[in-house]
Amino acid sequence: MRSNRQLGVFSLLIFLGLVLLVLSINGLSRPLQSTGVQPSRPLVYIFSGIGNSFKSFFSYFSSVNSVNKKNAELSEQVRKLQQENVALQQYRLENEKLKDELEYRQKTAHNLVSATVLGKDPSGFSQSLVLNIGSGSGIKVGAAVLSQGYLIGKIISVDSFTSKVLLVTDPQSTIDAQISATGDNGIVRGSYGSGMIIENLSQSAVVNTNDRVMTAGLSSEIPKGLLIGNIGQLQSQKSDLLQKATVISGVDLKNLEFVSVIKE
Amino acid sequence: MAKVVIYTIVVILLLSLSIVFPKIGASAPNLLFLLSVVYAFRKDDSDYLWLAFFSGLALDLYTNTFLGIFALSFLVVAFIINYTTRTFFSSDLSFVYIGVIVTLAYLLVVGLVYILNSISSRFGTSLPISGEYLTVKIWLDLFLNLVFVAPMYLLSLFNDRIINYYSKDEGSF
Repeated sequence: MRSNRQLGVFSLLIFLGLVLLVLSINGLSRPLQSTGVQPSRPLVYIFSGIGNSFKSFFSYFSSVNSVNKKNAELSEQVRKLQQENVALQQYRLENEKLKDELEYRQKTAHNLVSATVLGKDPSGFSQSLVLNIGSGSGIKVGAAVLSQGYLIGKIISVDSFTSKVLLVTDPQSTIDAQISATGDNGIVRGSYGSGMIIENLSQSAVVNTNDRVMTAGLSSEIPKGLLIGNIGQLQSQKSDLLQKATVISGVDLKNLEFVSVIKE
Repeated sequence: MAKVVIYTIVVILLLSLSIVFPKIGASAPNLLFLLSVVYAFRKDDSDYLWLAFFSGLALDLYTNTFLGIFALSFLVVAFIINYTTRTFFSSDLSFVYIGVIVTLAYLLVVGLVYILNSISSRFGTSLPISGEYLTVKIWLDLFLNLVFVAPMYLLSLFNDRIINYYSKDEGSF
């Protein structure tokens, strides 16, 4: 009897799952997805705060420990000051990030829209972000996403209030790129191990460490001349037909809070 | 009613935790998957099916895949775990058995997500999941999942105690 009921619930949920899948394939599930993301938003903010506090908490203890050894009498005072510092440090970091973002926005000729990162892909199957802006803010699929002047990804799906960004470090991400010093063209691809790799560089291309890697602007959505990162380590052998090298982004892609999206 | 509210809170909390969970390399435990697996072990009623489905659906909202892919994958895996546990293991479950089942279940979830996403990508516009996942980071993911089984098991016991507590209150009214 119990098994029959379970089988009934199982069949019902399989049917429901398939209906959602078909709706999603036909692009009809966007409003549902957008609504579904909303309830977890406040909690994500809270947990981000708690996560940062934990990081600060542990660094705080290690510093207090050394202070204790030097001066036991001042430890209580130091602890209080450290607690205040933790809060202030968070405000300062947030302030610096916003300033960097603003500074770039004032310099650039692109029409940028600011966005806050709501969350990252929790499944771990891809490297992507969810932003708090969508088609209502004029965001379109394919638009370039920047942080502190560096290209960090492109928009892959948009609904009314949110959009998803595929980070440049995801293996599915490919961007036409150019080494600014030499003008050699290649493709920047994401990689789980190395972050980013520029490949398909001709054997005659001169690749030096710290050379800037920019977008080549061959695709219609991503404009030419956006900074992707700097050359890290050459990965190919002399005998290889094409060269490849790691590319290091100037921003920490794991701790993004504010980004800008290029609006056409 | 208490059950629905508590399960909903737990799913939203774990989803939020998963989003901000610090990654080791590019890997992190899949807390919602573990919740589904633990309930599939422990429950005889159909609660675990609802929980697995909605845990998967919560993940679907934040991933690049089509809506329903994780929901269906979690549901199928939870059903298989519950069926095998009830059919072949009536006594107390050993750690080895739980470890083996979590490993197989995770590999099955990954396989199902890949297959469903690949099939769906042929009909709609979505990026297929990178094959690099299978070779590079799946094993670290698996290890982290095994590490977090015990805390999730304790969480499920705690949830049940809260549900029992509130269910008694509901009954007294």
